[in-house]
Amino acid sequence: MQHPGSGCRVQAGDDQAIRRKVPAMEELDADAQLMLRYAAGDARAFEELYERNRAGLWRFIRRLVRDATVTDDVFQECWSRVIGSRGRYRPTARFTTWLYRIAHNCCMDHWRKSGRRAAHETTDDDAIAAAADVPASRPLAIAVAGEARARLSQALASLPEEQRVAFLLYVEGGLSVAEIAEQTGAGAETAKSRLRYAVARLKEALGNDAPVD
Amino acid sequence: MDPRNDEPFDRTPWRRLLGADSGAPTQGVDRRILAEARRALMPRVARWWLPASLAASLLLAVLIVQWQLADSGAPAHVTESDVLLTPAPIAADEAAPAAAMELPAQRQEEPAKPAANVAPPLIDVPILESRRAPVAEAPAAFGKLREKESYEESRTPEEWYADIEALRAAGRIKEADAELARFKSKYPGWLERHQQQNP
Repeated sequence: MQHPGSGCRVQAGDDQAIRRKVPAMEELDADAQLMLRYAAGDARAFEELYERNRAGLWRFIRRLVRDATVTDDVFQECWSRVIGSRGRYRPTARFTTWLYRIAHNCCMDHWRKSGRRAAHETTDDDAIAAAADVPASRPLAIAVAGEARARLSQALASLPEEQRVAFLLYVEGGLSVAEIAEQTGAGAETAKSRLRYAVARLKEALGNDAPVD
Repeated sequence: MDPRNDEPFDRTPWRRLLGADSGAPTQGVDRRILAEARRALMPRVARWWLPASLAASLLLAVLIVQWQLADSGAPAHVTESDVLLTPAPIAADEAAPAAAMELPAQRQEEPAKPAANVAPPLIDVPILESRRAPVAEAPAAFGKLREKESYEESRTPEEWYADIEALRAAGRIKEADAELARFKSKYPGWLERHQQQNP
């Protein structure tokens, strides 16, 4: 198995013993290269890095904390940590893996400070906003897509928190099952089960609009 | 899901479904983050040189003022009240109550002296004028005061007595009498011996 971004081969199932080394510059993903350039003093590299990741990261945080104002705060805190860690950054994995780990940690810090929301809370600003974004005058296909997104957002919001975190780390963050397990402090099989249950529930909510494997 | 590998399902369609029209950070947030990123790259010296140079300038100014004060023989910390407390020969009696009001507690506890002993001709700055004088003139006045005090402390009995005689010769009888009283208290019996030796 090729560990993402590490440039070294590891045996399948040997997740705990992933050897990490700093790969050559040409082996790095584009984000990691930009981060290294930024750490070396290139401000333009950070602008590009930010532009490539801002929307996905913001959506990830938005779906976890489910409040627009808090999302902005957590999002900003996340990038502050990225900026502050530039000197210690080592590209032992894909940049996005590292970035979404930081984002997840920021979300957990927020939950610790503010008191965790109920795991099965169904009121999701995102779902409401997505549903409201579908005016009657839109073409049918777009309206249907909008409704599907709204249903997905609502279903995502109703997932148990562990499943939602695993799903978002996998889909938005691009983390592998092993990385999700490591990040959430669960075993690889547990992480995989959470993903399986999350996808099953989301497919059920979407019906025919669900992506086909 | 395929349990044999680490990719249980394809992310792309899910990401596409989640990603569209889901919002993004505001421009204000973007600006703050990019500004922070640029600020972090500024050399450390550029971040502290301005406050450091201001502090250094202030310190230099204080040192120059202290050096000038020390050079003029005045104490490092001269206040207006210190200048005002200097007894003046002309208005000694009038100044005494006012001065007593401004004296520090320990100085107020000193026993009262006779008016004749209080006002030696130390400095030719009337107290009312010195009240009007700006504080900036204080160091110069103190310079003169210190010179006179130094001279008085170092002069011999013969020189002091000669000064008293000079005052008397100049018609400043009251001042001469006051000085003579101080002289007698400091050198008791000296005048009698002197008159015996120089009849």
